[in-house]
Amino acid sequence: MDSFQELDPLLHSQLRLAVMSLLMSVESAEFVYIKEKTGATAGNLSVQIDKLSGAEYIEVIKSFRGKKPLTTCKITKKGIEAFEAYVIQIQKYLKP
Amino acid sequence: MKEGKSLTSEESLEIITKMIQNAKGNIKGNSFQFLLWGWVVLIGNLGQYIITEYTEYDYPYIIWLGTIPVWIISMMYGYRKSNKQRVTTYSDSLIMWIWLGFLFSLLIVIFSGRFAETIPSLILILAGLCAFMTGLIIKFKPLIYGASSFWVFAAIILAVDYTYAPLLSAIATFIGYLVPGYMLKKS
Repeated sequence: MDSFQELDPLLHSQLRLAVMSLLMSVESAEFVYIKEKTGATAGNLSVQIDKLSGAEYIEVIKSFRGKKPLTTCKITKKGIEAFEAYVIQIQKYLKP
Repeated sequence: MKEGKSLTSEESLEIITKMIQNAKGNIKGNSFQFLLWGWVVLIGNLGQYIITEYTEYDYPYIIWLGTIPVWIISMMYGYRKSNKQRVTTYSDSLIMWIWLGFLFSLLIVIFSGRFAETIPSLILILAGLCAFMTGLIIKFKPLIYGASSFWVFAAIILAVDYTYAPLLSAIATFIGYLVPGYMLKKS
């Protein structure tokens, strides 16, 4: 059972995993885009993004478009590594 | 999507697959620049051919100065589009850099004054390569095939009289660029 390590708790959650999967496939995405694609509420998404950003899995860039505030998210190198490790771990669980 | 629910491995994989599918871009958005440049290049080439064949004017390539407003429109459109875009995909950035690379190559080919009569075929070779790579990135076969035809036309241009170069370039632009551009718009 040695090969079955604990799954990364930061990624092993529905919404955070969805956000990370989305950011894995694109260069960067705005908060509203992530909200639309995941179907999450703004409040919940905000909390989960803060958690991922706190762990340095994603980079959150705050800027302005005209007068409107703009939040853009981007996956970091650490985030990519964590995501890859998570997928490998999941595959181990799925193997008979 | 709710938090707190424990995930099984299958559910995790399902989320990953679904989100990656969701992030796939819309390639149709690329067709505006394609059609704009396709028509400009086609008209420019035909114009150059007509001036060369039917007038005594010594500088038929002057017609290309008319593309200056198109550069401005094209850049403004690109800038506005990138401002509106809520997501940037890797393929968007790649395509943009490929065509910027084409622009830099074009400037050297045209303004170095060293390529003279090989300019039309060189432009076709470079444009063909860029369109070919764009086709591969957006996985759009008509563009891959159309762009490949540029290499054939470039070889033909090198083999025939220089006077026909603009006419052949215009035909290449129609077959290899505009036809796939309209197919992209319809897809």
